[in-house]
Amino acid sequence: CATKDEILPPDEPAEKIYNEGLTLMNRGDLTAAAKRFEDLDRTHPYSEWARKALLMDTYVYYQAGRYDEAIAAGKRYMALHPGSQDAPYASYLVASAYYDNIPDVTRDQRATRQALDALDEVIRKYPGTEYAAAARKKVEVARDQLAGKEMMIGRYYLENRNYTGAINRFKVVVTQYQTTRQVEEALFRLTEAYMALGIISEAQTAAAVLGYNFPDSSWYKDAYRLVQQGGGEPKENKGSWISQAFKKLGIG
Amino acid sequence: LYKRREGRNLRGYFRWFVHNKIRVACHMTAPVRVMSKLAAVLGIALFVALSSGAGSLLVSTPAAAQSSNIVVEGNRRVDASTIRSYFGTGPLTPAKINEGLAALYATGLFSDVNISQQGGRLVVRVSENEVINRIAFEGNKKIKDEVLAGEIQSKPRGTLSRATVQADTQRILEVYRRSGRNDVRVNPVTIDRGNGRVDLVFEINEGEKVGIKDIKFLGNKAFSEYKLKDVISTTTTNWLSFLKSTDVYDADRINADQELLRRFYLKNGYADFRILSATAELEPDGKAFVVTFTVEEGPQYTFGTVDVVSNIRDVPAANLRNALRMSAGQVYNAELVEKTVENITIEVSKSGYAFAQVRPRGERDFEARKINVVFVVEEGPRVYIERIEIRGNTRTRDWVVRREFDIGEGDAYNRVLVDRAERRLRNLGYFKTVKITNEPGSAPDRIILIVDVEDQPTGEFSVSGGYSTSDGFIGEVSLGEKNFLGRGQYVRVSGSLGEYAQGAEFSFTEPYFLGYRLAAGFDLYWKETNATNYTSYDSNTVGAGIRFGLPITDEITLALRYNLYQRELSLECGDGWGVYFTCPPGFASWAIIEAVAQGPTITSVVGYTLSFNGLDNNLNPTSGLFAELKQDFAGLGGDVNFIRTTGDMRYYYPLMNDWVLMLRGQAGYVSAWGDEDLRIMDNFFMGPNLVRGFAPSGIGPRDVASLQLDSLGGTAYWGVSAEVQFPLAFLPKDVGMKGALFFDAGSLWDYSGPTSFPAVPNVTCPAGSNNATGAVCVADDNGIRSSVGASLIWQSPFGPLRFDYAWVLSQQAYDQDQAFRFSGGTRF
Repeated sequence: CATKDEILPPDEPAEKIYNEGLTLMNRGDLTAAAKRFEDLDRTHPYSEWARKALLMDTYVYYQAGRYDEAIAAGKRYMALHPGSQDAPYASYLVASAYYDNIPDVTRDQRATRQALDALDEVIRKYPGTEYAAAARKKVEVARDQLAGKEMMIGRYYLENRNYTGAINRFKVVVTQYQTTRQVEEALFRLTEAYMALGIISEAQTAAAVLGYNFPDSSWYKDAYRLVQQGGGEPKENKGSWISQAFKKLGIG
Repeated sequence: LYKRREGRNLRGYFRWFVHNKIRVACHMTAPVRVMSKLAAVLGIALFVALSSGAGSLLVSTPAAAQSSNIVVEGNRRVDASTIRSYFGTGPLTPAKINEGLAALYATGLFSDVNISQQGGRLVVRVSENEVINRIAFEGNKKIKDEVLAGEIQSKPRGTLSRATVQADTQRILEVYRRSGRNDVRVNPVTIDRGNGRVDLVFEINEGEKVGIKDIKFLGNKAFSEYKLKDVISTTTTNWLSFLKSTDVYDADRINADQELLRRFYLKNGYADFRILSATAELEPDGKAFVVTFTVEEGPQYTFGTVDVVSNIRDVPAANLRNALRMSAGQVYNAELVEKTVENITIEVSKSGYAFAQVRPRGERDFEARKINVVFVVEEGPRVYIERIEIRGNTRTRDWVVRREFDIGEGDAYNRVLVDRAERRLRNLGYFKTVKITNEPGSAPDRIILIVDVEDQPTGEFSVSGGYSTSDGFIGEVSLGEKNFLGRGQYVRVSGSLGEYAQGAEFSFTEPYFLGYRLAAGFDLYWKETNATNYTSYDSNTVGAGIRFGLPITDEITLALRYNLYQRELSLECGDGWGVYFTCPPGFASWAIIEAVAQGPTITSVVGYTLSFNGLDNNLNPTSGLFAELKQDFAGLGGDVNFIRTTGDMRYYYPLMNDWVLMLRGQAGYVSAWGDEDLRIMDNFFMGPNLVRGFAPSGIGPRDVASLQLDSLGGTAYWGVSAEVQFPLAFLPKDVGMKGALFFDAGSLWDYSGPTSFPAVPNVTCPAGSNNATGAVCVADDNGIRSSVGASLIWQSPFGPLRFDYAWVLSQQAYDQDQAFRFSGGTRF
């Protein structure tokens, strides 16, 4: 089965192959460009051109949306040239490839956790770079996604009137993802679930913490109305776990 | 304090080195022979642990060594600076060296890394791994390069590792073995391409495919080899083998077959069933296997006393007896025992005892061949589900998986309900694998359920074709997706084109309507039929419908539906009211001309189907009962008012020697309500579907005044059938041919439509007509039509085919016979 291209192509100058790759990339033929950069890596291994080509390879695959290939190439780059000045960029590309692979909250969030690990690595290894700053923003979104997954499951149990199951999921959002924007809705849903269970004091606390931290939130208005319908006012019970969770971070 | 901390660090470092078997050589000013149990760590002053020193540790503070003091040796392609960078910047601490070493190994670029100390400098000596330039397969014909490349771990541009190549060779062998090639040889070869690059070539000699020539059973008395071959999934090689892969020896499949056999026997009362051996022997010529299952059946047991004992005070056993699925005297069935455990568990948990465990206790009475079963209900350990984690669902939505659980997070853990969810998830067909495991939760009484699934393609494309005597040739193309957008919905689009019919259909089904276990869906359809030898008119139907399916128990299903459709008839000579003028007299029955002249009719019909399915196998039933009652009520708007009721019942009973008896009864009645007449198209038209040996629409009322003696259809019918199906002993089982003998009887009668029309002149009817004069002369009699005949049924690779030949025993003079009938069709 292996008869064609058994012989390696005659060695062309590295610069020529590299430029061909660049031209192809600019023309938008990303697959051909990636192949050209790979040829360079093969014919002139471990030359300075090969290093550049490998980075370009990562970039081109990332651009083409072929994230698995981009991740493989980027990781290879980081293994071969961890000290080079482009290493932060390669590392960021890998993290971005994971990040762009994040599915919606109704699917398995393995990719989100991988993205968080890769982004953390960028921040840890190359602090102070522009990539660390960009990675930090992506970390926020990725954490929001994980919180969103908890919310999705929490809402599922709320709809099915399994209030304990729902509260457990919202609790995770309030305690572990307190800095994400999901926390507003989580506090409202906690009010809702506790009201449904008839645990009024916890519902009042959730509403009060929501009002204190997000006074203008429309979720707060709904929570307020809900507590009022139950014949009460939002009132913080300092002993409640919700109150405690917010104290720990010095927010509430 | 500082010293103590250093010491602890050192010990950690030391342990790491020994554990990872990384060679560390030491060079010191005063040469000390270092044994493998010792590790030396650099610095300008070194500290050494000597085994002779009884584990004493001499620690001195390391002075700073800069990374620029690292000398790299042995690197050919990897830059020295790259290797240096693995040791970070700043002073070289033992921890840093430790990390750097691990990182260098982790790159996979080096086969060896050696660290030594020379005159205050760190010398890193590396041996580089060769790099794979490309991977090729030679000599493979039956399995494509891409398949093999996907199986192996070595990758182009990756490093060459002998161990990986060995593992890859084994994997290739395994792939071939699975497809029945046992004498395959794989030889990995590397070709040096210079510059530390090699080509990796797997030279493959595929050898011959070794199929299974025969499957034998020893020790089976109650069931024939013929029947048991049906139970297992392994098959023998025959002329159709190119279509299948089940005819090769696969140890895993043989193991699965043993389980299938065991389940089959346990289901049929053989509680002592054992498989003594399952062997596959290669024929002396090495070209085929003979698989032999040696079994010990033991006696067939029946259920003796069956009872429930409850150790929970608030749940009296009497309340649980309804959940029993078996009764004394019935043939023992392990599956029913499992189902009963499930039923009782659900029943008990309804009473608030979510932790209850139900254990069946069987007691064999060897004399009477009875098994007394007692279901013991006890309080189980109190464990709650903390979380249900669903993993691996890259396509299917979280809630599509979650909703198959009858228990949620925070609920009591109950294994029966978890098993039930697992079974449901498997049956969905969305996943290649489903595995539910437990992990400890945050407290001792909490567990986390991990649901690992792997999505599989759920789209289906099918082309089917068929031929039947009544419909002629017909072909259909359909596209379906049973897990639409990962939402678990079913979508199907199909189009058909045939000799006398064409149509298109779109349907959509949501299995959990409004969050309930209730299937809801809608259909859009268009169908056109042309005149044939059996009908003189064309028809065109366009419509839409909604439906709900409600499983009441495992066997009983209630389906509700509403349909709104428009139907228009036409004749070759014209359509609409124009037919009065354009059609020659007698071209068709006036009843049909009237129906054509009325133009499009809109039917609005609501109905239900109540069905019971107790068959052992839906495709090829050998025992069990299937019954169905359908009612439709038309007249909620629309032009047509009728009530239609039909029933169908089939009963299969296994006889001796794999013969199967099938008894069938069917009946139906339709009538108009209000002031409306029943339209001719809403009548029943019956032919070989009621009594074989008659032509399509060959039974029942006819217009003897029309040239073609058009069938008018009747409003009442009944039919009974008895059929014996038997294997054709002279043919091997794999051919899949069966014979059948049948007796059919039935009748269709009572045309209730008008026989004269205001604009149509009446004629004097010929003899045999029920009415003396009229535009339509109806021959109508409820006499019994009957026939006997023989069939050949072929489960062919192209789908089930059926040939019937029947001799009519009794009929009415105006009925139309057709002795031979053929039908069949399939999906490719």
